[in-house]
Amino acid sequence: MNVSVDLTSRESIPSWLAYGAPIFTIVAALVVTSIPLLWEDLSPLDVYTELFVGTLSDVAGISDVLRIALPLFLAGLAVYIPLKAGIWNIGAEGQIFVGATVCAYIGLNVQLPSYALILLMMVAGGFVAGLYGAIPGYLRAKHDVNEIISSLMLTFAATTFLGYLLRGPMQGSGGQTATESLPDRAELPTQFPLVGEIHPRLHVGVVLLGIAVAVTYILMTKTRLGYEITFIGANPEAAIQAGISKYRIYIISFFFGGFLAGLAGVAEISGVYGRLFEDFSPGYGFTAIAVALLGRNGPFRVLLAALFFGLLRAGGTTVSVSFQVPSALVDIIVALVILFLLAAEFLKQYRISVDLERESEPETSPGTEEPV
Amino acid sequence: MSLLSGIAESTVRLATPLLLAAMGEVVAERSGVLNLGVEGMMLSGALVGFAATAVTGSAVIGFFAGVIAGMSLALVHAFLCVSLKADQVISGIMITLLGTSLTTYFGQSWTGENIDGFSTIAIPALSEIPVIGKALFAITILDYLALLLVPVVWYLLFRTNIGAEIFAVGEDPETADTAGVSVFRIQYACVLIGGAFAGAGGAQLSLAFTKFWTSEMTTGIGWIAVALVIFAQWQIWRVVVGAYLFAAIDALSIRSQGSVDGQLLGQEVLTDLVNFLINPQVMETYPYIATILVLWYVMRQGNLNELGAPRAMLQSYSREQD
Amino acid sequence: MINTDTILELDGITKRFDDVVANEDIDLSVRRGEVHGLLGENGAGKSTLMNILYGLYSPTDGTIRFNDKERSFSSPEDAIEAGIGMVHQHFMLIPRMTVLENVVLGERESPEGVASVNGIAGSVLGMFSRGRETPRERVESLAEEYGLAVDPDAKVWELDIGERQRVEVLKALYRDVDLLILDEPTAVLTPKESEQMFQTIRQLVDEGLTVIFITHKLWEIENMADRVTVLRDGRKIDTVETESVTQGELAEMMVGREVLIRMDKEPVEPGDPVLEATGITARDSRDVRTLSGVDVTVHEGEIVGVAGVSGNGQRELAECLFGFRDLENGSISVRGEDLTESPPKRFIEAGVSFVPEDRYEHGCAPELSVMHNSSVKDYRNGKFEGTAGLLDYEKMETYSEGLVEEFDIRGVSSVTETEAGELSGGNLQKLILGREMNQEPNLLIANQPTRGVDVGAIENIRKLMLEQRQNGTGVLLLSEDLDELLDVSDRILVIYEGEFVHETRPEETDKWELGMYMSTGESPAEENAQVIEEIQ
Repeated sequence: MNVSVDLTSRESIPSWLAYGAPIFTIVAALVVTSIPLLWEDLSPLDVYTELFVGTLSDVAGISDVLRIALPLFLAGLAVYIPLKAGIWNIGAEGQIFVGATVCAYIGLNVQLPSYALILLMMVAGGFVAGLYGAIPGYLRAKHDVNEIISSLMLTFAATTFLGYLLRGPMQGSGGQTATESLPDRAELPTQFPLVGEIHPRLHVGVVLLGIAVAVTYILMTKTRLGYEITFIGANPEAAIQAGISKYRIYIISFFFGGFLAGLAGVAEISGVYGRLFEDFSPGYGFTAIAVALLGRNGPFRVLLAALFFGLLRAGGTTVSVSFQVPSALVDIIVALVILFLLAAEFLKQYRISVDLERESEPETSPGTEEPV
Repeated sequence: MSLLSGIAESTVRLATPLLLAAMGEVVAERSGVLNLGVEGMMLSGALVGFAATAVTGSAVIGFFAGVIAGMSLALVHAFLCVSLKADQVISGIMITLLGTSLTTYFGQSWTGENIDGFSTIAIPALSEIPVIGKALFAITILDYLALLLVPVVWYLLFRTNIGAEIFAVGEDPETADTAGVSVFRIQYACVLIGGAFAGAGGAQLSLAFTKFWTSEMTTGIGWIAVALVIFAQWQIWRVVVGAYLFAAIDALSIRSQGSVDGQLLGQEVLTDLVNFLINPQVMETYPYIATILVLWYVMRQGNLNELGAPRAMLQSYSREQD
Repeated sequence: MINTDTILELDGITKRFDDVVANEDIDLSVRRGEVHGLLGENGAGKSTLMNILYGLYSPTDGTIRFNDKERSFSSPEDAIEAGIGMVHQHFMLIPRMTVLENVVLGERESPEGVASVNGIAGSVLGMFSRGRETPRERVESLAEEYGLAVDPDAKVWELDIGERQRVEVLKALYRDVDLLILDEPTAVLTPKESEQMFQTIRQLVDEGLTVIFITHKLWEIENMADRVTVLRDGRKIDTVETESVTQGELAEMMVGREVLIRMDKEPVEPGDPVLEATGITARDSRDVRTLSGVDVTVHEGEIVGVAGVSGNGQRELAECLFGFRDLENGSISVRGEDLTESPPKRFIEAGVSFVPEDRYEHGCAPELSVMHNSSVKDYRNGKFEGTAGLLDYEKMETYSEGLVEEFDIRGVSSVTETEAGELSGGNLQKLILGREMNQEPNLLIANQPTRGVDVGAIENIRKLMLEQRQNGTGVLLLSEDLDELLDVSDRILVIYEGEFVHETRPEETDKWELGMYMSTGESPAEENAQVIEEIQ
């Protein structure tokens, strides 16, 4: 008897799969994460209840979720926009670092009234990070250099170079590898207009969540540029025949991505830490890839994904204190969610039937070619 | 003199994990599968190797446990990328995240413990040679092993039938398939070899180099290995040179003061520039920048028949319907 | 020396890809030691059939008997094992490996001395060693025996096309095949290289091999094949002895289509030239020169038809005239404006509309909505201008709905929800044509606009082109459908191997004559003369 697995590509994705897949991946990841919890003699149910329900049951918890979701969302968009143009920005982490560095430099060295200073930090931080981000876009457009590799390499170049800055030109007093604290005027306030302070840990930067989602939504669905990005991403050949320039779109979408990731860096330094140090980002730029992947059907989904991962991280911090587990638990869940998502993608695209008699060959839709 | 031999010694030791991981990555990428999970696989090799050594008291058992740990994560990567045709980049990065977080989680209880690990084996007479003597002839068995594996991997890739098949699969799986080569088996095997080497590299760190465990102890060596493979354009001998070059930069950055006194050519600007360029932290960015420059140069000069990545890297293959 | 011993018997082979039937109920019987021609147009199902035989595809239905045994090949490995070799149309060679490495790939040759080790030890040794001398000698002797001269140590990327083909043949011979399938072996060869190829084939047959020879060139069949099987639209038309048919009969079997539609064409006086292209020379994506110095002029209100068997440079011509492919040489001007080396955007601005050959790959973004796809030529011209310079998607939606209505595009439940890729070929084509015609173009370039489209849609599409002509648009229509060309064109050019070999008017010619030009590149009379010459 011949056992063969028959794969046929699905013509359309059934709705139970389309909506069920994210839920499935999260549940599966949580089930697998139970193993390390049980290893530590903890009840997964207790931990997950605390993580999700506990965190969302007070203002402090919700404030933390929003605060952490902000850089995740901005960096998530930094991956999302180039992804819509069909290219991968794996370098959001590096762009966050560039934005943060520019922010710290301006905050420490420029004398301006608070609002003007913060605005300058954002624009300059975003712009420089955008330029840094545009390098892989340019190399891909002009010389077909694989943008995945180059954006990844630029990330490590940025993070290691920060090590130099913090031990050299930008080092503060006291011998730590960190800058001086930013002056108060360079810090994002926690007093919201009209509402006042919601929580001491929640800075006004979170309004960027709303602004960025609106701007991205308008960009992608209301502008010519968004139309072009979508078309290039969907079929570059057809787009070029319609007169759209691939070069322009690659560079611009990477610049936008870099700009947003840079803003995330500015928000972290100016809003959360008040100074620049080496490990200020717990890999936001890499989690951002997961955020963009989960939310790739639109900026609102990206926001949802960022809030979800923000909740995981905020809740993870609480849980690690109250249950005495390492906070790495959060990253385990993040990684597992995405790995299960990759597996679920396969189920979405292929109908699998195990066939005991007939021979058949696997089929696939042609993959996209990635030059290196 | 002692400064130089010190630098030489730590260059060799620092090069070992890098060399191992990069050789494994060459094998995997030559079959067309990019593995960005090296860092995670190294960490799991380091922790599992350390824990197994601490429990059994045998560094050899620990080493093999580390190798197996690396292979287990590689198996996940192979399953996702080869069987399920998932995106190699995402899978690899998430495997690094998984390896990092799992080892941080489970490694907590091992932090602060010590083991004997592998001790150095000095070859009489040869190890007395000035400067390079201690570096090359008074090292641990794992350092010797890494060096010994260089010709082995080279032979496998360039002088055997299986090596030709690996190359063919990485260049054009369809053609390999029509010639009767099993793309599936080759890619699985190569990814697993990559995982084994990464695990071995990680185990070397915790068993022969530091002899303790601390979370994220690989400090990005896995990523440098990925860069190194591109830098070396998938050639084994260049990987060796690159590994020692990158390790030497690291060794220098630990030991050197990193400054030139006085004025160079009477130009203060020039002195500042040189001091900037040889600053240890600045030098740590070189591997990454060099990799981009190499990649850019290769794509620019155009003849990808001589250099360049395996053609089918990042593409998943199954018999395609026209 | 006709041998009636059958080596291969295909019975009722059917292959479906999703809903598309590529092969339907095909029987094929091949005699040992013959050259069996497989003739048909592109898309007739020749390659699919042979890929099934070679184990790359498995048939939906039907059986294969080879060397008196029923076979089912699940991979090329099985087919090779059974004694079937295939030289693919696009070469299956690794450019960065040497000739020798390519030839022995997958064979696991061991060096002298260990080659005799059997069992597990032998197979392990086979993996982890490499034999060079014996295979090299074998390759060299095969090369000499069959006149396939090629340096075994050269890298394949350094070889020219003819040499690469020889490597492909060597690869098959090295594996001791009984039956060799050659898929359009001369498609990429120069005439001289083709002649060499034929000599090789003759030698192969003399040595007892059986050859299946896929082609769409009639004179090759005439010259090479003992028998020929003609396929059309995935079905077998007939198998005949080559000597018993004329080229004309074969041409009719291959391209013959029933006349489906008659269009009423009103006379239009051609105006000024809209397109003037001279000396167009270009290479295809494999870097083979497929256009050598072509001149074409299209006037206002004129439909110029380009007839040719697919793969003779039509695609490159169409793409060059739209700025999508780089010219090696030549110049293009549209309404007097020089557009040589301009990007597609400039052509669009000059009023050139383009209907590409491949609807799904070049004509649309299949995953995007009908709305996106219907507006891609209009989104930047202000038609959907909204407030503050934004795009007004509601206008776009309305426009798209209008287009769907006007051009009778079926299967669209909502222009924003329905994806272009979900439409049938004919409806997608109407969408593309509608989008292009709404530009009110000066020049319309349409490459195979009715291929793979149902009868109703064909009629629609032809009507639309005639309407454009009425409005003064110049149309360049590249088609393999002779009825279509004869029906709608004012002037017909025949393209053969990258050159125009004949120019005529529909009323001065017929299908048969065009078919001969298309498949031989020469006029029927000359061709007969040549055949007579060759027989002598």
